[in-house]
Amino acid sequence: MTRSLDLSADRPTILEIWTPTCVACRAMQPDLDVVAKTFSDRVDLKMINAAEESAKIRELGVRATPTLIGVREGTEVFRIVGRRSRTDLHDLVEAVGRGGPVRRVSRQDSVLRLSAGFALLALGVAGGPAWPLAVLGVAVFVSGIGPLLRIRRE
Amino acid sequence: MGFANEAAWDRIARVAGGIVLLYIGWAGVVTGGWGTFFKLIGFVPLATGLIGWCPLYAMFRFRTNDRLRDVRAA
Repeated sequence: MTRSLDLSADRPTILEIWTPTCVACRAMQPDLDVVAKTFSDRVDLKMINAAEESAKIRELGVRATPTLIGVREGTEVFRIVGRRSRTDLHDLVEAVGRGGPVRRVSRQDSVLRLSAGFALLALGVAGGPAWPLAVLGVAVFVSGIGPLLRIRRE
Repeated sequence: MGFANEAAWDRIARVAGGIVLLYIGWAGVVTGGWGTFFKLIGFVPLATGLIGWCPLYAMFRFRTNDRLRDVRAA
């Protein structure tokens, strides 16, 4: 979904919506600071305290923290909710900075899919056997490995 | 993903639970009506865990990832 935002920023910008009481925000902040510093020549980081700017939050349609919104040329190019690893943050900020496609599936999602697929496949083959489980396992595994391969190619 | 309403621990628990239920049903650990029940119901936590979004949570405006308590209180 793309959303037009009233942002006059010339450069690509990451909006970080956070609250002081948000544990995940505090946990992610050091990683985000490092990534923002790495790309400070190309991407701006704008932090919005949701507790103080509730009108702005409603305007943006933000419902949870931490939320990161990538903005390029006044248009929202991605929106993620929840804590992300430093690697994921690096990939997101880098993609916004260079104007490339933004990966939608995080490494966490890929790992979860790979693990679930492997477990289903193993149980389907070894325990039963239950072939529908094995087939489902292959499908889930493939859905996880695809994004991971794309990540490595980029 | 922007629509996610489940925390990481929630997703992992759902996926693990879904796999166990599917295994119980499809591997024949439990047969008969309950076996069929497990065969089908296991897909629900597995799918919601993999997607990261629970329709019941959404219906009741509940979420296990962090909330905007301060904003809602305002």
